[in-house]
Amino acid sequence: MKKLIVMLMITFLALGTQMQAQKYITKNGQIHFYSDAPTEKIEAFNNHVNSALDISSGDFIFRVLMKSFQFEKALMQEHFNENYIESHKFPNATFMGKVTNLNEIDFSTPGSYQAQIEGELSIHGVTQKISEQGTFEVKDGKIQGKSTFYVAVADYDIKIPQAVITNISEKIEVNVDILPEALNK
Amino acid sequence: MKKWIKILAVLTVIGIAAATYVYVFVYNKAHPDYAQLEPKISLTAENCFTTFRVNEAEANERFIGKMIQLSGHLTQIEHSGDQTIFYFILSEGMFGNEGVRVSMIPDEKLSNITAGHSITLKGFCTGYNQTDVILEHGSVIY
Repeated sequence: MKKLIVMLMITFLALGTQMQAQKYITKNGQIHFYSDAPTEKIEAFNNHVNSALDISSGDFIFRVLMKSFQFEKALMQEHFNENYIESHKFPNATFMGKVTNLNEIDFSTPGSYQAQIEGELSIHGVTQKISEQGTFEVKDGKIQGKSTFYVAVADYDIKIPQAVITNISEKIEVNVDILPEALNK
Repeated sequence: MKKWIKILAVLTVIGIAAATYVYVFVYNKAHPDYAQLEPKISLTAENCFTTFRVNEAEANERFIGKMIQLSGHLTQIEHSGDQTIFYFILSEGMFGNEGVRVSMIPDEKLSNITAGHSITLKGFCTGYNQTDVILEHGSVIY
């Protein structure tokens, strides 16, 4: 009887550990965006992206603080926060979605896998459904996720004044790079 | 005729001076020297974290975009690329530790600091991401 109880406990512990290892998180994910307009190239970096991936369900979320974007020019950073993104009103951007082709990705086997990601992206207080491609690279027990997609500023009610319309691209290239680690609680 | 040339020359000089001023001091103005910014608010790391958790909107208004001075028990030091992050761990949630994360300005003196002690530092608050309050451009006060 004692043996049975010990075996059951070990089984539950093992299952618990396995379930925990299904969640991968990072607090240092990176997002880079790039605007390629006729009169100006603008880019910004953010190295404090919070991201979580559940490899059993495919649930995938990230949350970005807009004030954490760093621009080369202080004036651009000021305009981005105060005039366009209005980060005092909308301090976060979030994505909540799913990896929809989970059956094609083997997170336990090293390799590079194409991922289809669908969900809702909220920027500047506006939420839009998006469907984008990305890759997961499984290597040395780690999962690196990368994606490049485009965001149309008009879709998120971001108003560009007529005077600088040629300085900012209508579609902004967004590059996401995350290296989440297994959550061991 | 000469009068017109003089006026034109003066206007040209003023125009060039104005354009140079705008280019240097407006378009290319420097980022703030965060290490020299005086903190606007002083509080404990725990108080800061709790304020965001209890009323995020009020905390956003109070802290975001401001240099704030924090004191507390430094729980963890992380290195990510060339970044050093000081972490005041204050709670545990669905995604692990939660608290206040401070991304420090690179400084050789940081290597002398170890976790597990009380510290007072300052950093530029960029907000709360549902797990942590984020401060950037941090520097140690004492």
